[in-house]
Amino acid sequence: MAAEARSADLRVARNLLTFTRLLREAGVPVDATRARLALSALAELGFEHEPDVRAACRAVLVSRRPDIALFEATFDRFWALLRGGVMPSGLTTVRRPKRGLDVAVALVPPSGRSGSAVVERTIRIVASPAEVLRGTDFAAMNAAERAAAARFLDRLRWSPGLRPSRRYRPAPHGQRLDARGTMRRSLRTGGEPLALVHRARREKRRPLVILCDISGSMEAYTRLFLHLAHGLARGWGRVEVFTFGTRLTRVTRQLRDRRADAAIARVSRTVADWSGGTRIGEAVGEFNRRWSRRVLGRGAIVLFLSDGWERGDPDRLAAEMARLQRGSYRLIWLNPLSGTRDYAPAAAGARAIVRFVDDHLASNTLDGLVQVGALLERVGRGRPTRRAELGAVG
Amino acid sequence: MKAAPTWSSVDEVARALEGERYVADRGLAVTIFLALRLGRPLFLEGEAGVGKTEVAKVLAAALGRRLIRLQCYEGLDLASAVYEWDYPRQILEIRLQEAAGHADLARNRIYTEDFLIKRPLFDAISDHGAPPVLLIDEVDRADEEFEAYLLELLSDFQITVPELGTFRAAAPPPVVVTSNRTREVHDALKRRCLYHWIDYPSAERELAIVRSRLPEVPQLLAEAVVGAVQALRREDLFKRPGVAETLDWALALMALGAKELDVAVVEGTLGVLLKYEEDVRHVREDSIPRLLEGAASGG
Repeated sequence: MAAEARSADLRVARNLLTFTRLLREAGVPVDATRARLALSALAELGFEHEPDVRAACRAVLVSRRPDIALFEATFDRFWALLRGGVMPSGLTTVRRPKRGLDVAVALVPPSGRSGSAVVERTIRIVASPAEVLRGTDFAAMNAAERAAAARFLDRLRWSPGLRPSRRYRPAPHGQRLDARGTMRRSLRTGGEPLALVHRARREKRRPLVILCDISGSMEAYTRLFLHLAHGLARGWGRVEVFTFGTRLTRVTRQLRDRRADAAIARVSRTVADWSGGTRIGEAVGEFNRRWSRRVLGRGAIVLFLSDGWERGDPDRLAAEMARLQRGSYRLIWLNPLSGTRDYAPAAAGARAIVRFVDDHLASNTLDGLVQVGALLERVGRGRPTRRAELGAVG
Repeated sequence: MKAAPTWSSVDEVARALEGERYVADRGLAVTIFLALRLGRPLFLEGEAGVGKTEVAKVLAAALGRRLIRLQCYEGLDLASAVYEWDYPRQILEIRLQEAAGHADLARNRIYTEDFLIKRPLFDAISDHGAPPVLLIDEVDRADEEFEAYLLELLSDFQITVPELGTFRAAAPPPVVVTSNRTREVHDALKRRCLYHWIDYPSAERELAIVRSRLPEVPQLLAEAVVGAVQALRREDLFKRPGVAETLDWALALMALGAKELDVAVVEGTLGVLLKYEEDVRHVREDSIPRLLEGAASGG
């Protein structure tokens, strides 16, 4: 009797192990602690009632909403197999969808010589790009120069904008009197407040959100902008990165790889709309609805990388940009076109954007990007400064 | 270290929640059951207004326990979340002892539990009766520093006061942590907990919620309200209405004496459901017919 029970337990344990393996293969991270917890959960519930087993496994093994769909699909398979009574060893699993072109195809610059591996490797040794290169438009660079520019961006150190946090630190010359601290100290001197204790606000980095246009018209700039995003994401801390063309894709996780090239390759595998058309209004709208509440908190700075070439409805774009601006501490438009001579935001899309950004900066050269870095460092401690107040135009 | 088992099956949990007029889906009942049995905190995520906080309130009521609520915000520190010494009283005590000629005794007297102000977290673990239900609300609003502290507390349910020693919960209190997902809460904290995502309810369940919470609303009106709200959630909105809004709306319609939904009534009360001007405008301009259609079909 006891032996029978034990063999039943063993069977449950083995089944559960199979299930956690299926989950891991599907891309849901499950560690041994969690697996053991799932076992205790099933010990409480039994293995008979399918909805309960499912709910228990979900409660224990999933901890992020995006994983729920993967979990459900995997559980369906698992339960079907269990009912069938066989646990095959080499079954095909549900996977996170992979789509998109390979990076090599997607990111080869449209003009100039093709970047062979040999050229790139030689360029890597170059310490810093020549002064000439710093003023060259990215679109006019050849593959070798591009690689050098990318190296330059990788090594650039960014100092993030700070904001006063709501935490305090003791500060001898702080602005505020720390009444609690003063009283605490006075206990040492028999309740006599001989010394006053001061405190000041601690400072925190502002979150940074990067929205990067990857449509066809931006092709010459996309890769370098992603390098920029990668550098910022590594040096800054809280950075969220999204790409958009005809749809919005969050690539924050993909950019976490320490090696820039590998990170960008992962981005390109994730993104489905490389070098296609642009519907900026829709993409920004999707950002506003799905993401803004989650990533724009705490006084975020938004970098909007785009040439403003919109094929959708300009009114919609203007409305969405207005909302984006209201949600962010500072909205900075990096426009590769604005660095070219005689550029004025004349197209309907660009006109719609320029009305609602706080800064409109050239970003077609390394020098331009270095200036962006300087601006980010200066950007604010106080309340947001809207462009209307700055009195700047175009 | 297990919580005293209070309910012996998922069905009992479901019945107890129902008894408190909370209509939960099976998944939530299973998760609550396991959280209590395994002594793990319950981590609830979902959009605003789907009834996350309510779970803790209902749980406390159903268990007959006290509810201790900690509302999180940025900069929440130990002095307002855990404990603080009552400095003014300590100073007063020193003075009194001095006046009585026992200045040397004062030092020992002022560092006792009498001079400790217990904040919610301390309160929750130092209760000597049946452990209260601890609600840590909107943890996503707190900062990383507080999250790290919470992680420590939820691992071993003990708090150390350097002057007094370590306090440990006799039995770990049931803990409910909620998040609106305005930022990603750290994995380490979530991994201490059992996770449940509360979605917007189906039409059927939402109707059950309205009927159970607001029995005074007539069946037909309740059906129309739920149908319209369900249709509204399918619209392209910045902020979709939660269950809390559905209930508010039903009450608002009752207050207006509306027997059924029509364009005028809906337009007049949209502000109860939608909290962003763009959303109100969008719906007023082109979605009201779809809402009324939804209302007519009852979801």
